[in-house]
Amino acid sequence: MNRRSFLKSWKPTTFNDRPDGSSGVLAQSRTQRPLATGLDPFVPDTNNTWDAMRAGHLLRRTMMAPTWTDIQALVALGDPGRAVDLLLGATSTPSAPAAANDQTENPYPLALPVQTQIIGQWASDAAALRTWWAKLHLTASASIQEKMVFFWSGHFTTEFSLGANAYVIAPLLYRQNKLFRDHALGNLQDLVKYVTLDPAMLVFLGGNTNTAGAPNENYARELMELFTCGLGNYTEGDVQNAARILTGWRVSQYTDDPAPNGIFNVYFDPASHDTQAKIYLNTSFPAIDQTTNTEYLVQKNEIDKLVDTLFSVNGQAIAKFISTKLYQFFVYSDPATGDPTSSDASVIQAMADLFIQSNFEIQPVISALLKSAHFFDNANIGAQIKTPAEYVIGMARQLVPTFPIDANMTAADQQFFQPPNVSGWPGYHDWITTNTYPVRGTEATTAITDMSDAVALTFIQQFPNYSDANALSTGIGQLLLPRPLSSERQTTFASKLTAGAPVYEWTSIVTSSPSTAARNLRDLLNYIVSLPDFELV
Amino acid sequence: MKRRTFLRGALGAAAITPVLLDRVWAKPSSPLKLLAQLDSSGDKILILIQLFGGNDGLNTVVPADQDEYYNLRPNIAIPKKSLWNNFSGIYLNPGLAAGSQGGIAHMLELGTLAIVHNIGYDNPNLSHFRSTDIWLSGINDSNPNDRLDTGWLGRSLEQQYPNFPAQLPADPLAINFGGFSLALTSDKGRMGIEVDNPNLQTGGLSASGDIVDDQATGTRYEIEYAFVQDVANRSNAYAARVKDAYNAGKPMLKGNYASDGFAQQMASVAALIAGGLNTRVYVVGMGGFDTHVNQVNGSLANGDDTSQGAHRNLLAQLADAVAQFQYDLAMMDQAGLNVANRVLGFTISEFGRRPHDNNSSGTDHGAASVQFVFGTQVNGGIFGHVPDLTQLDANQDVPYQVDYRTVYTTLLTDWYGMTLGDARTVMNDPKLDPFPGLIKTQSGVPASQAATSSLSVYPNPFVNATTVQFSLPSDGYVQIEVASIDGKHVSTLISRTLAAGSYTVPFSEELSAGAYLLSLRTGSERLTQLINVIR
Repeated sequence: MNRRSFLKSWKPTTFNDRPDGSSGVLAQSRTQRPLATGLDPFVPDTNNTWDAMRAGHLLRRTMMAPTWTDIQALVALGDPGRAVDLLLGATSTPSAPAAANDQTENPYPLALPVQTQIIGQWASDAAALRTWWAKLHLTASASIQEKMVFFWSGHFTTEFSLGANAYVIAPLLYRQNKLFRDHALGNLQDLVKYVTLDPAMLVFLGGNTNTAGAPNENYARELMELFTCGLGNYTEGDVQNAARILTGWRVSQYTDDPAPNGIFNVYFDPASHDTQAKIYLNTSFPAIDQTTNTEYLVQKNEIDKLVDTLFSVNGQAIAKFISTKLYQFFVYSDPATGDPTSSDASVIQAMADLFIQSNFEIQPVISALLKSAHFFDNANIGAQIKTPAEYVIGMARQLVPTFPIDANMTAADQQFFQPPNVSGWPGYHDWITTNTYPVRGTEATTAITDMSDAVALTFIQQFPNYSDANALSTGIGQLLLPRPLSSERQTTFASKLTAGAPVYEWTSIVTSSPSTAARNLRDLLNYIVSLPDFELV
Repeated sequence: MKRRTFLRGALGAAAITPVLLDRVWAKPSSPLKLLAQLDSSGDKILILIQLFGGNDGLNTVVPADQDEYYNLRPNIAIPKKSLWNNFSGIYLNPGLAAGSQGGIAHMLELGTLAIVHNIGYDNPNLSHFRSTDIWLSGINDSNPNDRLDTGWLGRSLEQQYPNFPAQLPADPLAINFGGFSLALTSDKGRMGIEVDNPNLQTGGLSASGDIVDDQATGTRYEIEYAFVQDVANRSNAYAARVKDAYNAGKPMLKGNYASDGFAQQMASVAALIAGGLNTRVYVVGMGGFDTHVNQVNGSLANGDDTSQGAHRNLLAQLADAVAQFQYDLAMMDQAGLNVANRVLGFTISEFGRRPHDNNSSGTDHGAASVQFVFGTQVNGGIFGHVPDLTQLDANQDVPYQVDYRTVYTTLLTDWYGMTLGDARTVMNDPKLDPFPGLIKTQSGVPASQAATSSLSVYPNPFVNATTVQFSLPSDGYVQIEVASIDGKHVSTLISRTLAAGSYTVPFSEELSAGAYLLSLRTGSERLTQLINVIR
């Protein structure tokens, strides 16, 4: 079957088929290419070279979007292992925005005008924090750091606005964001302990008011269901007992709150803690008395023990649950986990094994995954749907540096520090609807229309041999699209650059008529953003 | 989709004892109108309202006559005197009476609201996400390893429109406000489209004639490329149609909709219906029901006014928007559109909340809860009774009595006119029975031969005598019967051949207090009306 007749028969109705062919239609109509199994490393050879496509693939999955310089630098390293090591090793410590330390008094008991003013200030602080983080993504040099923080912020979720005039304020969100940055590739078990007493999390899931006698079960449930082991590995009794163990921790949110450990920190209120005996995951937490009902001892003997018990009893489930989420984030959103013989299942199992072997260190698992033949498998390249963050920050990073990030992300349905609910952004196909897809397109065409001639020419001139229409088309394709151009696309792109004139005309256009070159480039970019795979990375 | 047989609820719908309304309507009902003739020019419409987070049924329709309610909820119980109580024994959160139309509390008085108590399912799952999937898929399967990837409405549309999407219908089959809904997904993908503001709906991009590299064949990239292209195709196909219908319908709206997102969604649905869009399902929703903290203002134990607070405000948003919408449908009928009888709405929420509150002035995840079903074709009234808080399950939660899937089955058969066999196929359960009595028009009447008879009862509720009015479009054999809510024959009013025309028949019989179903059969038609006998 040639490509054209194949594509004609390529009906959109098959889109929901599972890669494992479970719904049947796909299995009948096409044969899936087999994927590499396990975590064997990708070793380039003459058929699978270390090139711009694979370097770009690695960068698209580990950053919001690559620049042309990023791609060239990674190709120049000559080896995927060195490229991954570079991305994992590069860290930076950004300075805090002013909003991170904005102290306010508790507005709720105050007169309405003052209350409104303070809450308005919180909203500005949250917007400032979003802009601060967007800029870190926008200006990042080759590093996985901010994408990892993004992963954790969608995993251990916290929302700024909780509805009903309740908020997790920016100083707490900033501290949580810093926690994720400090431990982005650290130890998972430690991270879960930190998250359990994280001020933003305590406010978000009601731990801040969790009190002996009538505990609030919110965090206890999500700790297990969403953050560690997943459904099916605990009982409702475990939820209730975990909630009791977690009673008594309070957050100093406001200037008029008690703050024995300083504002924006957590402290322990012994009177609110349930000192009775508890049984959690068949493990005994003995009753304590007044002398042992202290911040230090309860953190050690109950909070740390709770997390240690969870990891000890459900370690395998946690390793698999987190590995699956990492796989979905970095490789493909819809793995064939239902089929234990699938290559996807073998990769996830190998990741889980590595988690267990390394006592839940995160870095070895990510490193092995990103270096694997499975990660670089042809079938996985260009198979992810761009998040609005990737789409919008990509527009700014690759095309129009002044493109407003926060407003455009919001319109495309994603805001930093504001996932839709405690399970984070559902991602994958949820990002593309008959509502949001046209929104993305409108945003992109608006940005391109606003691209000045100077910006357009700078864009063009970053590519080597840019005066050759074919070479430039290839470079633009390598930067903006996940896979190499077909010869048909190459022809289309080049003819856009010359507005239909013979392709050799481009050389004179770009050297002697810069405004025409810029206009033709904008036409080409408008065409590219209309391609379905501009939505893919 | 995973095919397997699922357990049925231990309690069938037949076990439900409807509550009695012990007092004649405190406010005058709207003037009695004979049922309008069903409009055969448009298809039946369903509106699914999803209350995200798990609505607290016990502070929605409140068991205020039970001391246990106040014992279990020392912080968040609402004092009896603050509750809506226009019928004795029925206590509604005051938020349900909010707004210029009196909210859905007033719809209860008008007979356009049904309250279904203790709805849920066997072996309740207290995860938001799994339980939401269980509700939207229509499949009660708590095994986290089983993927629930299709929805009951999506499957029903797939069954009704077998040529989708090769032949896209002129109008979108379904519209979801906001993101996309599992409820509308079938093995053929998304059966509808997603809309935010209909006036801003535009087409998607997607270059035609694009050729990608041949290395893409058989890859996941190819699957996702096709997915994006499908969304682009559907957005291109429907954007102008949705926008035009919205702009045609919007000037006809008379409802006073609030500015919140949910009210605006309901206003948009009203405008699209008025504008003639022949869409079969609308999915709308509102969040905020996960009330672990500060569900009410302060704490009853501290003497605070717990009738105020976040949960009441949510219910007020819901009740006002629904009542404005129902009012708009009536206004459209007055303008000659004849749509109200084609529209039926209902709420779902993933679970109710624990009967006992927590010290955060909130409630944690629970089990069975309450459902609202509304429309002119609904048998208005109360199905079941508020939970007996001394009879909780092993987890100290409200046990379910009505399997949510039986209500879905009723909507598929009695509303959409599917055969019970087809509905059971859609619901993936060959033994599932409908929940009886919820809808006036009955199964087996395709829209094209819509019922032309009418049946009504006034007064209703009544003590020992009422009047049954009915009309017949043609001569024929007529049978009018009264049956108990679980289908047992009670009395026959008429069983004979009658000429076409309108009839009034007095009905007086010593019945024990409770709800009954009055049914009229003639030819292929069957109409029912819920009647309530009070003492």
